[in-house]
Amino acid sequence: MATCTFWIDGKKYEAEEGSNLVDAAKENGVFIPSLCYFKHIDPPLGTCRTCTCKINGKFNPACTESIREGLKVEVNTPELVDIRKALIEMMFSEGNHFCPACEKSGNCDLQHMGYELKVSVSRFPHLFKDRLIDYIPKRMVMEHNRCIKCRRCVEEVFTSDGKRVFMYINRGNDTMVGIDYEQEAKLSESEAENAMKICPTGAIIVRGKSLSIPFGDRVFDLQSSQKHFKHNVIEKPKGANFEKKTIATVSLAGCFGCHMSMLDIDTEILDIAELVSFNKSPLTDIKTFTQRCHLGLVEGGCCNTENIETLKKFREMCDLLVVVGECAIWGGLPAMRNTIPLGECLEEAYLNSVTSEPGENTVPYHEDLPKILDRIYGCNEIVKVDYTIPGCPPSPNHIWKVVRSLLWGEDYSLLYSEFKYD
Amino acid sequence: MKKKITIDPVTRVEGHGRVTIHLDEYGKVEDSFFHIVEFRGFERFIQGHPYWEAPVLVQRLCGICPVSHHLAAAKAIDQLVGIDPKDLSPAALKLRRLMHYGQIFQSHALHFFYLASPDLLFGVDAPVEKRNVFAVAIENKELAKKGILMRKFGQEIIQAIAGKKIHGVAAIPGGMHKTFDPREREYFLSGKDIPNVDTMIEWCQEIIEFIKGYHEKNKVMLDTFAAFPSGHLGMVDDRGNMELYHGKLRAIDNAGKITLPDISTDDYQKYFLEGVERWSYMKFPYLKEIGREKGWNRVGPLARINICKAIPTPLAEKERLAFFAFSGKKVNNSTLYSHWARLIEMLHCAELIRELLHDDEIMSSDLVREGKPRLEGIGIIEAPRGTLTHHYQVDEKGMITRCNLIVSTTHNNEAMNRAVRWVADNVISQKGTITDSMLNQVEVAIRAYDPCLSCATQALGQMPLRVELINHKGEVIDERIKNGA
Amino acid sequence: MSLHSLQNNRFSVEPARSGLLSELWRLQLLNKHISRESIKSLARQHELAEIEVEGVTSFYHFFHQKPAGKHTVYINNSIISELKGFERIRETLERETGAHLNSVDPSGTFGLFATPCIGLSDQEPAALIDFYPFTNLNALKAKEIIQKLKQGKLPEDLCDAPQDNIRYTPHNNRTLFFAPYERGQAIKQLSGLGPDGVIGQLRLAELSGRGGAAFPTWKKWDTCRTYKDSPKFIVCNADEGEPGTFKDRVLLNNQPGSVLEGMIIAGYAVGASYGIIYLRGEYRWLLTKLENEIVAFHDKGILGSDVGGIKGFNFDIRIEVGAGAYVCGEETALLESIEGKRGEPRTKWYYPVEKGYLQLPTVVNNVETFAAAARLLQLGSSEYLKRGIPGSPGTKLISVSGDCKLPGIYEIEWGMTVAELLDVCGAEDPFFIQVSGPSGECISLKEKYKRISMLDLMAQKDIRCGGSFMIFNSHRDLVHILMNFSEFFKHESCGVCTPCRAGNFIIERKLERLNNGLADMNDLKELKSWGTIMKSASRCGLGKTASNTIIQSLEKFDDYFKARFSETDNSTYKKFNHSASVAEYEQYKP
Repeated sequence: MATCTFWIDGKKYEAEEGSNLVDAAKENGVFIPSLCYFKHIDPPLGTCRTCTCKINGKFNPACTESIREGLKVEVNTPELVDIRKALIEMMFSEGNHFCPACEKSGNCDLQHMGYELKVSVSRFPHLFKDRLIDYIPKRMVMEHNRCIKCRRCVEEVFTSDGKRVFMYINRGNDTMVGIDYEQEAKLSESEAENAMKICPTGAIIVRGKSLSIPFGDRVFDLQSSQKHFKHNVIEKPKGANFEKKTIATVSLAGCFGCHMSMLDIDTEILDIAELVSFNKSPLTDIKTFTQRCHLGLVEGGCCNTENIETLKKFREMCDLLVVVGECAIWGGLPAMRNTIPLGECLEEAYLNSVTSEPGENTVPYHEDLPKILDRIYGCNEIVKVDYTIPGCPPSPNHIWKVVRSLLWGEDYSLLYSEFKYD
Repeated sequence: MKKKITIDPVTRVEGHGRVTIHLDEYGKVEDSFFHIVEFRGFERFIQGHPYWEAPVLVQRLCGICPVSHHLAAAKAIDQLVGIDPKDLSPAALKLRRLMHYGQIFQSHALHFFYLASPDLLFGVDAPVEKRNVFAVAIENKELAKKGILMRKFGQEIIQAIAGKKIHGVAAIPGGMHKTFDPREREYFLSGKDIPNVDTMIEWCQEIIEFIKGYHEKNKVMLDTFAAFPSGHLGMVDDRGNMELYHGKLRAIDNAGKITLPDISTDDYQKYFLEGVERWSYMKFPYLKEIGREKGWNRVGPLARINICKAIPTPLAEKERLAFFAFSGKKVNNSTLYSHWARLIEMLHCAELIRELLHDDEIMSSDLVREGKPRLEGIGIIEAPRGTLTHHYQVDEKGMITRCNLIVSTTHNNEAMNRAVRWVADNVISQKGTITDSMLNQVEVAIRAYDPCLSCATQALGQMPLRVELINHKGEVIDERIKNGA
Repeated sequence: MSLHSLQNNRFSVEPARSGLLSELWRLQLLNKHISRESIKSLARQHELAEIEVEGVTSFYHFFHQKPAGKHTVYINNSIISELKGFERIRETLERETGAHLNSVDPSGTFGLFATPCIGLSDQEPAALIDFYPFTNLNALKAKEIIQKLKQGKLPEDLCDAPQDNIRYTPHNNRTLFFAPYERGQAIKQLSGLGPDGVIGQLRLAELSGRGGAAFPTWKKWDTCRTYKDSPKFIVCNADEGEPGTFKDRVLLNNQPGSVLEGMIIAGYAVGASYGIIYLRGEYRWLLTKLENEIVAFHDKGILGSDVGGIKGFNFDIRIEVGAGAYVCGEETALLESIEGKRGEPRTKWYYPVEKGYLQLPTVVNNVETFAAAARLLQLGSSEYLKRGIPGSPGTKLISVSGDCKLPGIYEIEWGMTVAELLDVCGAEDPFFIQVSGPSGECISLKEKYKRISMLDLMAQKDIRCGGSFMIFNSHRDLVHILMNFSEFFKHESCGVCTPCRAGNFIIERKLERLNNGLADMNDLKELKSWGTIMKSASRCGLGKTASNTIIQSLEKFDDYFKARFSETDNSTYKKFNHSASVAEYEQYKP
């Protein structure tokens, strides 16, 4: 095959004619995010659209483009960067992706793309559609909450007699990847594990194969795929002016893990105490704001009416509102109840538990209790949020780098390894 | 004119709670409540998930003691794969214990230094800006620094095993997925990078000396403040000694009479029921046989020290003896002795950690065992705040069909309500004006239980201090918010 | 050769899998659903995994996996139907049949389902019962129909014969499509012209695709001709699913011969031997008519061997019936569907002219394009060019519906202005006009002096129209219209690519916020921005155009939205429906 010249963002590169654009870019050190792309599937699937670029002036995914002489590709224009980020956000909003509770976390391509594209919050509303977890297959469990319908398994997994094991079923927003129980039973253990491996998320699980890789050793824990990964907290740092600032913190429907993570900077907290005074916070005895604060840190989403009032108060009293952790950002793990009617949750807890009194009929409801909302709401559904820090919990470095950057304009960039969803 | 006092949120505790105190027209307390205002619904939404994901999922109940939830769930999940605690590999068991002791160590450090110490150092009359750890850091930097480093030590033990300080993963069905390596061990033993485990033990002893002094100075107050008879529940080993990871459940009454005779954790449902009150999202567990009125128990450090025959590490045992010698009672029912008991447990954990760090088995790679699957698993553990129960039922395919959680703080629900009532009756009732100091004492009483309210509610809600004056028609006629704003 | 030479509705060159849709149809009509056993046996027969057959079955909404009633009733829920009384009819039918919408009554007699546009927008409300059409429904009529069915009468005896409603043709006998027709007149021209000549005629006449994309037809045919693979296929896209469009229905009903002739001409020009009409399931009632026309063509010698006496030119046509999937109007999805697969659009890695049906060279054109090609050859390009305007010659069929006195088919010469069209159809207080269906564009009266032509893709000067022209008066709720469109796309997306599958769902949620009064200007901004992302990133035309109307309406009807949604930016405190959020919990109030 002949070598030809092509252009990415105005720079000239060379690659073999007919090679796939995603690969050709990668070989030349240009990172084009991709999810469904699998080198040996022909024709390419083009389902996830994560690699959308402008090719000869038209929007198209890079994975369905082969190199030819003079090809002009735009990859990193602000518009394209935003579109690709939006697509990843869309996947997070569409499925029920609870990274903190997922065994594929750290080895998940979707999560990885989120990290690479610095997705800290989805601009789209989470749909919280109730999805099936299918336990019928022999070796596998299909976790439809996590499926992004990339089609990899449909095109790649066959029985030895050439039959498909996976296939799309239904249509529109009901589309899901169905699994053929009869064919699945024919797969060997290693074929089943391979299916789990090619799944970019945690949708295909082999029964009993739980998370067995420690943190730090997982595929996407430490290193970015981009040569020049940079993740600035704020775009343009100002000159640092260390005047003392006041901050407030609160835990709404959270587990206090984010507050604990704040404390995990250990003795640095002593330095922080010099620079910052804490106003309303569970760490102090100040129960209502005594002054306006420069910055408020909010942990947890809103599960009851009081959370909403508190959050609004924080918005009112804080110049900058920073939401910390998955729960505050979009509901997090407690939002698992968002696909379940509230009544079922209450009744399971208070009326039907193993240790419930026989004939129990009391569900808490009292004038001194806040009312429970129909679902968990992320903070940005209630008020405007200035900055979001993902993680469950976010690393202490992540939290304090953000605080220092926002308060004093310090030039801080996050390391790839500091930015996590789990 | 009737009044209602509301303390909302209760601060320097983990989670969200609120106190209301109802006064009649003469300022006499009619009733008081400690409300837990959150509800999360874990028992329901975990259903349908595969059991092997439970230990990762449920630790999100709590960011302070995630390890406790992780391990309680892991113990239950072990049973689902046919592994009882005795069947675990020695290495897995030791790693779990190490992690668990690290957890208790850090959580107790957190509670004592970050949350409770301002009360002890500055007293209940201190101005609001002083009642926090940052003030402690300024006034007593050395103490604060030690507290921070002690918590850090515990957190780093956890991190070494679970990969993260908070919400890490270590336990998998039938064992563990990571072992210790020599470098990690060296880190905790050598003292080159961080104060080592021997230093931790020393510091624990120092702090115990400090609290002894405090008790000597304030004996009368500490003996009587929020003291009331109650049952005590916890775990003991086969010899009746203090046990934190796995053993038998024992409960005694306020005089030391056994009310729950060292039962197997697997049988807990035969003995416990939980009541529900309209005014709190937290339930009220009690011993079935004794009944709702009297069958409730305190749990946590004070209960554990009360029920055990001895603590199986020498330094801590010595302190246990000193503890009982000081109070002169066989069973201690005084709420504020919890802090002392907690520090003794810290010492105990530090000793256990030292023992395990010197045990080569923690570097073994024999980590996972398999057994014959079952459909029900129960894991009970002594979490920092007390007896923690996780109970799962699954179908043949591995899907969780039912889940029951009795979180430590739930057991203390009744006790905390009594403590609030004690303060209400003895400090607030018929005193005319209500001062900050009085309200602070309500919180001091609650705080002694180190309630983890985020756990307890598996939480859907929140906790400040507000006082409302309510007339007999129930109308709010005056309001007072704690810190006087 | 006749229709009967087909084996299981397949040409001998087609693989067994291509018969799958027909087989599923047979089972659906016979058993009123496709049972698990049927899926199993089909899987065995085709040597497929069951899930693959299930995947196909579940893609098409006329295929049911649970019994759909002895009589299956589909009420159209398009926006036009809603305007004309969908709710009333739904209520009546639910009451009379005892079935709730999208379910079957307890006795199993009636299945009642909603379905998107069934191509009868000029006579709404309309429904299909066992795939027979019932038009201009009112409560009384609906009640009578159900009662008669209960008495044992058959839908085929009760159904209506939909009117063609041809309301307008160009003056001075310049009609192209509705001139008197005699079979074979166009085919007669073939031998004289030769394939080059045919393509040349198309080129001179600037004939372009009438499905909406307006790709030059000559180019498509000419490219296909260059590929050597054989056999080649001519596919007629009669999957007219764009809501508000019904022109192809009228052509197939009124001029089936022109359509067949157009296909034969294409076959001759590119060297194809097989033609397939992909007839949308909603038009199943036209099947007999088309089959009879094919038989008549065979009888006349203009289908079969040596067509029209041209030695060696063999051409046959069969009909594939779609089963309810809008996306199959996309040409590659349509090909997948004929292949017996899920109707998922392919990537543009190959074009159908190179690798189309069965990966063989294939021309796919719209019904109207074929009819126009036939009329063009019959008239000759110079005569043809007398119609329309320079650059956009010819005439165009437009389906007019909505708020006007005379809904129906308008054959206009390209170049007619919107205002003229509104005038001739008797538009009543027009305010919002949706051209080319929900995926097309909306226009306001400010644009009424624009011409309708093929000239201008970006609609800066002229308006392009694929065939649907829906008129809404000033009392109509724009948000409601947008929600109807959005729901349509949410269900009709093939589900393969993220921006379309998830995007339409997300957009619908946002529109619900608008509808519930929780939106402000910021929400509108977001809607527009999200719509733009879908447009840029979607895999096929469906997703790329699904947000068109949202984006445009926000621009063109700025005043309307400003008046309706508070202009202030409320983004600091988002609007929140407090009472709705605690309603569930309040049930536990003692």
